Amino acid sequence: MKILIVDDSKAMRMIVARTLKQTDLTNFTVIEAGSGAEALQKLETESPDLILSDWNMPEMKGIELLQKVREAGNNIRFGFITSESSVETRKQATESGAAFLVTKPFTADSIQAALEPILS
Amino acid sequence: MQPFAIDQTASDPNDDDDSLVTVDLIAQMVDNLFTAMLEMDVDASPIAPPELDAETLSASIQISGERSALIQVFASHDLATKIATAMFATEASDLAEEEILDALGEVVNVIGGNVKGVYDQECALSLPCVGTIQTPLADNAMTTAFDLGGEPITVLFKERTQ
Repeated sequence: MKILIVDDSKAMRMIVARTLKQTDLTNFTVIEAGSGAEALQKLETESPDLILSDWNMPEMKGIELLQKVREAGNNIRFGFITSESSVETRKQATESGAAFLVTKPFTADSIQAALEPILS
Repeated sequence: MQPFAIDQTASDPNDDDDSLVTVDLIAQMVDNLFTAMLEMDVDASPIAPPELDAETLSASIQISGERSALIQVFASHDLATKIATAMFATEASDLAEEEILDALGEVVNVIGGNVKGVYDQECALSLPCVGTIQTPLADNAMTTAFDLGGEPITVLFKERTQ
């Protein structure tokens, strides 16, 4: 399985990738994008199986990325990893087709708990 | 430039109003961030904010909407480098300056997002802004500091009225 991590922060992309390796999940590879535009490109060229995206990014927010992906008719599994955790944020994410939203700071357990239901 | 002191020690000027953000809540956010996610040695008991100088790094983020607030994190360059080594899981000598600033920006981004979650109202979170400290600091802000691996990290929170 190929997981695309989208975050404008290189530090956070590394933490997410490292934390994924600390879960019990196996047989996955990680690719990264530093912006929504780069994520859309990699969606075409790399055909990932899952997108884990930040919410608060310059130029294209994570929710806009999700909406563009869905508008293009792509039903790839999509989850947010974000510091934003309001009820409104969760509602907007769910209504736009996100499978889950993990709040920063996260742990390997919280990532695994979010991913297991959609990967099983 | 002379060092300057923050004149409020773990102060909470919002006690008299309807602010939902307290020193204890900030302490919990700081503890969760550094302990759970970065496995750094942080003491969540507030300490006196240190004197800041022109070399101090500052990361700022703003919340705007039904509630508005400014959150700033201050750290020495050495401490920001330690945070970056934890985030990037690498040696300090391998870090670029941009990566050190990125790491401190993520600290304020996480705290700012958590504050926005506490508000749970129609608000927008800005992107983090990182650089050397700009003075003067916000008046009458709640300012507290914590021991992070033997060095102080300072958090300033200022709720703004509409």
